[in-house]
Amino acid sequence: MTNVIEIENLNLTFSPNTPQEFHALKNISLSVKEGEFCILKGVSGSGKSTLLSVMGALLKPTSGKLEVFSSPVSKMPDFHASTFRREHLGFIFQNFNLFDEFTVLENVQTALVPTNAPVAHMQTRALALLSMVNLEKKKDTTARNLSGGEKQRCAIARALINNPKLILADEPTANLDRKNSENVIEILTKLNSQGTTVLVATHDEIFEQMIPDLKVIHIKEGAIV
Amino acid sequence: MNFFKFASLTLVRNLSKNMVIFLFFTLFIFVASSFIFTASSLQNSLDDELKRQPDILIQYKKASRNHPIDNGIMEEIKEIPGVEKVYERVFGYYFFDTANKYINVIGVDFLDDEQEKQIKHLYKGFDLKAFLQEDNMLVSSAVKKLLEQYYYEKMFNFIIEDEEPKKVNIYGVFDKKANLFLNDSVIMDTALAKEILGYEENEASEIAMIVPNKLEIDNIVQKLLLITPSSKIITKDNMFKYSHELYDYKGGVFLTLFITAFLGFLVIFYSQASSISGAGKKQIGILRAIGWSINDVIKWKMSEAMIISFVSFLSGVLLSYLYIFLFKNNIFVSIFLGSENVYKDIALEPFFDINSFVILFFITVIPYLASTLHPAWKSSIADPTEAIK
Amino acid sequence: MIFSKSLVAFLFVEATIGLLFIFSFYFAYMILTRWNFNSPSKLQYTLEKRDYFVSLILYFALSTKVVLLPFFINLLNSLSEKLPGAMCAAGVVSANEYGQILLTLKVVIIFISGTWLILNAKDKLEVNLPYIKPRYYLYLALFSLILLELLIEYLYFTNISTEEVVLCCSALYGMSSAGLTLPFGLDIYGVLSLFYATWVLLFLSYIKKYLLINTIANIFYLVLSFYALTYFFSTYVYELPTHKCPYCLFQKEYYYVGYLLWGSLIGGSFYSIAGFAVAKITKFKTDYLYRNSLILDTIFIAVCTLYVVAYYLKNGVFL
Repeated sequence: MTNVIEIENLNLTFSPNTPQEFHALKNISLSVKEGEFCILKGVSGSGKSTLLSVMGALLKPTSGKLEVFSSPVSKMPDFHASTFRREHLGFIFQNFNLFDEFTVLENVQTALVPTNAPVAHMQTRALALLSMVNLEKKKDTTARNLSGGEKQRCAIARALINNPKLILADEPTANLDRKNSENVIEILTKLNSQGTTVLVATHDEIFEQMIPDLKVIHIKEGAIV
Repeated sequence: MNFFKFASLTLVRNLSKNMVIFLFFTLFIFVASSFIFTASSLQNSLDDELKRQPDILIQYKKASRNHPIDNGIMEEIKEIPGVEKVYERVFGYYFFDTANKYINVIGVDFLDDEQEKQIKHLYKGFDLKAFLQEDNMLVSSAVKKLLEQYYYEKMFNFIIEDEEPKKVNIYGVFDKKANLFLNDSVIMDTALAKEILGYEENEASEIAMIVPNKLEIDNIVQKLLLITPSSKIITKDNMFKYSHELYDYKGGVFLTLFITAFLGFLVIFYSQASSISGAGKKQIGILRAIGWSINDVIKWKMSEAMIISFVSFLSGVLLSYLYIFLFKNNIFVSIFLGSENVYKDIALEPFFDINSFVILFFITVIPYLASTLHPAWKSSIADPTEAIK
Repeated sequence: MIFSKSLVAFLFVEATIGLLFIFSFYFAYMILTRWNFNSPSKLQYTLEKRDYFVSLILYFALSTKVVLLPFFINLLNSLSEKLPGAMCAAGVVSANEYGQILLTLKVVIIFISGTWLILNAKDKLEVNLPYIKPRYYLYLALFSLILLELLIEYLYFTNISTEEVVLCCSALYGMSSAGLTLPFGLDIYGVLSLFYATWVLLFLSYIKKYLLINTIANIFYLVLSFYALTYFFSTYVYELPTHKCPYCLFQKEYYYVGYLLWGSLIGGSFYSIAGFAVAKITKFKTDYLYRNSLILDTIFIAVCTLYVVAYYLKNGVFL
């Protein structure tokens, strides 16, 4: 099986050569295989979110090798990195990060704006995803008026709009109660069973309880342990 | 959904934030566009009026002030080939002592076809015979009002030096359309006007002539100079040029002042737009995380700026059109026409001068967009990891 | 010094663009001197971001300049009212020695900034921004030209006297003109045959993909068109054998056809030259630019010819 993510000796230093110098990521090496459900485990401040940002080409590492789908994403200029993100990755966040003033449908379509896709195509694609996460009835509700669980499901639909092969999730269940967390994990496992690779940064025990063949990577103070 | 749709959504959903810019922008456009509408409407009416003027005028000046000209030279001018017609014109200010106002007295030769034609459209149902039987005059609505204030309902007594006051009947009020040029005027027979203004029989304010072939005008001017070397000769082209220069000059001064004020607005706007709020940074972080590039964010921000400026521009122009052409006596007319002699009763003729609005667009929308370039870029490069924190 | 509303607005917008360029110059200078694509330093990432700002400014400047060019022509036409002797922009342009230079400079600036933007788009398609150096050398050239243009604009407009009589177009281009003669010692029919022949060459070199020949022919075409339009085709537009002028075409009486004619001609040359430059610098195919060039050149020749044909059909004779 091919590696979806391959990291070797990756370092990230903020404000190098200054008194505020901070090693956020230290000599990290890891790999994630296609179709794996993988969690990045560690307490808050351990660097999981930072690592996730680096994998998503939102943050450039100081040194080391990083390949996602065999592409050197950290070396790509912005235009290519963004296209790569849009076409291959789906991001899910801890605090949902929806546009509060937008409706559910508009939120889901946001990721398609730069593609200039035809309106009809956007509409059908968005509606299909909303029905998958069971939010079809709320498509015209303003995001502000959704419950936490609904917000996260809407965010998942948005992350899936371009049919990504890899989902990066940052503490997706931290702001949800038990029932909604289970709901989110069910959706993620369903996607995983269809072949999508899932990488979740979390410290929530619920993943280990619910998913049998889970790959766990422990991270502590910016290093893999 | 494209960038414009997305931008219109973000604008509408954050209306309160954008309302201030929108209102200020619209206000600026409103003021400038009102000025333009007033100026170009006045200029257009003036051009129309100038077209009806004779082709050449001769005035006699002493120390650069108008003096009566001897109408004896008319015989000589008639002989110049190419001159179709020569006639005298009489006008001048009569000082209405009690009211401390000036009334413009204009003499017209009603038996002359050319001049009668010009007057006819001013007054419906004008009966020439009845008018000339007695000392009659036509007055403007503003003069009518002024006279009524002093209880001159049917007639007015003009005071003439060393003579009995001259009683002239008010025959009627002429059409308001002419008020732009004749707001403070009364029109009467030439002989009567001469008597009131203290002119001799053989004196006139100026001599006018009509030349059908415009190519002949320069030659005729040369010949006129031989007849009356000390007179001032004004051609229709001179009149147009002078009026255009005056308006262009006034317009240019206004524009310079306007640009300065607008720059002030831009500086305030720029400093406000340059500081991106935490929420704004987060918003951009989210977009970047879901696959927007730096360029996409710039496109969105620029679309927002375009929508704001276009909508403000159009609403400003529309509002001022309604204000200027639906409301009489708007304040801009007073700015343009200057001091108040008699009460102004002027309605502007609607006129749309495209060139002026291209200018207005250039000096407002383009600098506005220019001032949004840097803030748009600055927000587009905001740290995309904001969304994950 | 001459003064009008349009002039105030025009100079204001030009100054705005100049200001933006000065604003972006520091960024461009840093990119030229400190660029190192393989460096993972913060500076390099900053420079990559700044590249977007410079592109944005250029994009804005070009769009504004393209809109401003017809406005400028219109401004020149309107100024002719204030200059004794001038009937159209021809007299205003020739009012002093800077007018002709300024017009040429404006076209050159549009050519360069257009080429820059095409190059920029190609550069962004590559994963390592390989054309950044040529782009920024071109930027330097553009920056100097923009400053030069502002200077010449200042000199030009402050040196127009409203007292001195300028020449009108019939004196500049008409029968009596001694100044301008036709190129290569040809008579007008020689110029016309060469003009049509060059178009055939353009067409063939496009079909056969001889791109260098196409570009050279395009420059040749631009020069010939100026003479053919001024001394032959314009008389059919004015329907007057003695009226020869490249500027009166822009006036309302002739339905502003000058904007279409000159626009298509300049656009045609631009696409061919840009196509050649971009193909030289990058490895991208630029056939679509040559195609645009040929379309615009063909519009030009077609409209010119139509005027002659229409005149013949209407009057049964040639001028």
